[in-house]
Amino acid sequence: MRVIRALAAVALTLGVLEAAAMAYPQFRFSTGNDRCSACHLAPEGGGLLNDYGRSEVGDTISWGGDGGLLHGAWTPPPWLALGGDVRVAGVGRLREGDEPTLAAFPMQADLYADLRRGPLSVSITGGLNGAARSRPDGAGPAAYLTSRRHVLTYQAHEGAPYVRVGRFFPVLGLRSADHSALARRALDMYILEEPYALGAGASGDGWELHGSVFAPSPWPETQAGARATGATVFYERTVGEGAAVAGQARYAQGELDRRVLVGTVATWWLDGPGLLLQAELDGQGQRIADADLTRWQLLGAAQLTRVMLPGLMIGVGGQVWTPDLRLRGVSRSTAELDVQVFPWAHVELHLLARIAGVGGRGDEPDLLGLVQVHYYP
Amino acid sequence: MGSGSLPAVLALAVVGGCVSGADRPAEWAYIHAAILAPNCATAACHSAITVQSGLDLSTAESAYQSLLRRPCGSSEPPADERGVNVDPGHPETSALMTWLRGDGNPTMPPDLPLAPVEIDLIERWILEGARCE
Repeated sequence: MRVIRALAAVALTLGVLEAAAMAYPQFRFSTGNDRCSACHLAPEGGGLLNDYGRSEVGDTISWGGDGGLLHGAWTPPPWLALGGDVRVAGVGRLREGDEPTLAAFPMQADLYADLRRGPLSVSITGGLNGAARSRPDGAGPAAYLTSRRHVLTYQAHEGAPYVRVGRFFPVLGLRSADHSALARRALDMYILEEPYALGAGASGDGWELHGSVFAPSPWPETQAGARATGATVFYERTVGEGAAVAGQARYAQGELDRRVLVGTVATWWLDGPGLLLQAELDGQGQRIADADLTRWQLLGAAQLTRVMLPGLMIGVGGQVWTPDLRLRGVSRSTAELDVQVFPWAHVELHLLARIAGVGGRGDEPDLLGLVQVHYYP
Repeated sequence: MGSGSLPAVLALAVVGGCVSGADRPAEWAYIHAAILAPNCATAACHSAITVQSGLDLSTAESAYQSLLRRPCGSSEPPADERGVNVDPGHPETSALMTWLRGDGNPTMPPDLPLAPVEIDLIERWILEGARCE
């Protein structure tokens, strides 16, 4: 019985809910493109690919195959783009004092649609929302479906300034595809934490600027996390060939606290050895008014990836999240190895090994192994 | 945003924290906002979306109600003891402590456990009566 409970807990925690896949920042620079929007319709990357992105799926990312929708079986009209993400995973975990666990589960099932007419576009993501999970008594079928992203965008032409409104993550941080990363949790970018936002952005020769104001979903049963109101700004400049440095800031007034974050994100592509270094460092002040307490927090992340396109990426990385710099023994840290194989267009196999520890438990780390099969039509 | 200087903060980042759990308030406003909400009220677990095991820890009110089965401010014991996870004054008989310490395998939260200093703060809050004000 204890084993069954442990299996259930790990599976439910790690992924039966849809995992909001974001961008693959490793493809930036390594594919010869200096911004996410070169391949993605969304300025923050992730989700639907544009025509150029689909051509890269077949020609640059994978060992072979047609990157078109459904492997080129059908080409939608120019005003329509369709796509999706389906992931299944198997996981094993070792934790001191707990039963070893092994589980397999559906991780994500999302469909994407983007409709364009002139400078206007509507982009919608719809998918299963933990269909294998129980819900509170009285919950109807709608409680098992969700749309974590729906956006109306105005952009006169590709590369022009844009304005958008709807539900989406504001541009911030490294935007890893891994929803379980410490950085995404700390920045309110965990599963189903997308706020409603009004955003704008522009880009020029070697720079891009994005800003958003955001508010929580008016339907609490559709959004998890801090449910804050606030604003973000993200400004990035390319620095020489294959490198970019960004500054970012975020203000969030939540129901429980007020947070102010400033930070930096850096990306550096070394063409010779095919190495990509990505790093993020953020400092945050959190004011918990009801407790009359201010906490200073730190987030750090770094990843070094050997990009061997087409077909293979191997990365090592680490993250640290300290929710209270003055309090001894509360830091969370992880170190991981990622092997990502792209054997055929639309298919990814991701192997992940992670060791994670919490301050004061450094001698009792969690060990996690994950195998993920990802199909994106 | 309170007092403190950037050099001091950066120094702390390098050498680690300098105060213990005794310097943090064992009060509900802190316990919920600093420990329970960020670590437990995620979408897949004890959020308003999924309410796993009947626990909605997303707001201070819903979390208190979920854990003690009575609203904040009420001194009346719950009519039904089933589902009570916090026994005020008695951490040793509080189910919440069993889960956090891993005595009721698996340890909660299942993705990454709480730090011992955070568990000790929750224990102190229960020991001091588990008040919500």
